[in-house]
Amino acid sequence: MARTPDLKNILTAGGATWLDLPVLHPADPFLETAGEEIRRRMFVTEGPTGARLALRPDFTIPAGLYHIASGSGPARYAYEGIVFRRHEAGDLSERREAGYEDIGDPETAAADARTLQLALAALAALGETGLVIRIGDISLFAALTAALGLPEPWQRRLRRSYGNDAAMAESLARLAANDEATNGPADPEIEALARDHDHDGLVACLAGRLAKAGFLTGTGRTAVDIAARYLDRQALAEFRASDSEISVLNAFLDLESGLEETPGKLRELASANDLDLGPAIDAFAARAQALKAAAGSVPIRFDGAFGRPLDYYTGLVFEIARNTDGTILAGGGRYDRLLDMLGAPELVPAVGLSLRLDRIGIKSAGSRP
Amino acid sequence: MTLTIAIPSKGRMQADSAAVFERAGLAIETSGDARTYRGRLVGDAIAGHTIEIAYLSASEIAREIAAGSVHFGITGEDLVRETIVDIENSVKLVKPLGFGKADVVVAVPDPWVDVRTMADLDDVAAGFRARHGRRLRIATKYWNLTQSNFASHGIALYRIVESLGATEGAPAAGLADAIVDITSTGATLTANHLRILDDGVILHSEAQLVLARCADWPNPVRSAASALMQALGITDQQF
Repeated sequence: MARTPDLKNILTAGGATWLDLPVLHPADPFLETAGEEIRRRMFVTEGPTGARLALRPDFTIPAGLYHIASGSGPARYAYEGIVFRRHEAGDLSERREAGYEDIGDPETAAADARTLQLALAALAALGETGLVIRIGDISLFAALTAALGLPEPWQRRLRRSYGNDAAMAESLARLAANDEATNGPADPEIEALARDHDHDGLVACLAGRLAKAGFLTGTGRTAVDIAARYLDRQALAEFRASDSEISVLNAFLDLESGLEETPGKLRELASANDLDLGPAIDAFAARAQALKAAAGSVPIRFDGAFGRPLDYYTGLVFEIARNTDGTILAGGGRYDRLLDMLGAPELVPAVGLSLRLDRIGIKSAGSRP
Repeated sequence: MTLTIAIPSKGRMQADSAAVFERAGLAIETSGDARTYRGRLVGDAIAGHTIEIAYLSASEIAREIAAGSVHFGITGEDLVRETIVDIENSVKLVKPLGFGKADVVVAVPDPWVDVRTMADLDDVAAGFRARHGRRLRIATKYWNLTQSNFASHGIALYRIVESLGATEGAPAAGLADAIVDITSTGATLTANHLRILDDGVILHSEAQLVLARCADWPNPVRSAASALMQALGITDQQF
């Protein structure tokens, strides 16, 4: 049941199916995709046969599961209802949201723009004016770490820290300091094999140790996995980013600008540091143009450090806030890796949005900062 | 209302707890029936006050303290920090008692020669799903300690597998990849071919005298508590 008929009409105008999703869901898909951190924030209970069930903490995962179960091609979904999250004392544990998921469209820039436009249309229909949009894009940051030629494991670490300022600061400090020391007790056998780049010997040695210690094979990390990462780690230990590499990364993360100027600023950053970011910036510029058209007169700000530290978010993220008090009213992003994690047979491009109905239309609520 | 202290109902922890009072010149009197779960603390230093002893299991003690149904308890700091989420507001660790010492640690299979630190574990956890089709699994009975410690290292991509006993056997049995468990000497971990990470000590735990802030503290209870704390040589007497 939609709060206003308008909202349902707006969210389904582009052909989206209106979903009526259950409140109780198996807890596992949430934990498996969003990780153990979300358990603190979920209300988990037990079904009659002991199955672990959760009050839905969000709609995206249930909608993704619905899409996979339906077995259909590209599709769009919209919904409205209550989500349940444990909060710090004083905040409500349930709140009303509406949302939209645009699943399977390979024209990602168009899908991103359509999603943003829908969020703005919904906010306008609910009486919200005076808005500002903030966007970020982890794929740009990933392109930057690749263009810098950082070792692959370091690229992964930095991507993982993206969107979490504390974690990013720590990762950059480690990247600069290189305290990746192999300071544990000496393991001469392993060290000798690694020094000789004897990959096969290393694997055989580790396989022997695993077997001797009685670890079952086929249930977790294998000798091949351990050997590969041991050699990676050696490479990491030998690597140390230069001051200029660190300052390029910081310059990108510190970048805050209007969307129109952003491609130019990115090109400046690339050419000043002799980095080949051409294709990534071109793709970003095309997306920026589509977003600009979708946003109309609502200003869009680019924030180099804005992202969500979950590994299924892969590209654009956005937030729409009131320009008076900064209250965030809507948010969304591209999550091309989620459907695959939920069990889809292949990678499925997808983007979505959610609307904070608990805040929309409520000006300067006294209890909320 | 009577001042009530919960202490462990059996084993070394019970004997060590009783010894804490004995050293302060106090004794626990029971009604004579060996199976009783109540006792009374007596001694010159607390003459005129009524102080009851409630024998409970170690994990119940942390719960009862949190609920405020006892005024003090003696139990392991690991259980206090695991069981009581809002620890700052609901309890106060009054005095470490010097027994029951053990560490809550993160341990991985010893053949994981590439994993020495939490940062290494983070790397492994991040690549785990792509490689093995599932998240890294950590067996533990310490959900809260594990979650808050892993979060402080920025590790989010893992799953906790509940383990209520013999956690150290979970990796060899293929039930988990690594563990968070309590160990005093590390011998059990070594025997199970597990190794503590260089920065893998989550908590140095020992038995603590714990005060329940949220219990009722009427004046007679307060003055009994003051006398008790003085007898135990505790000068900082905030309730």
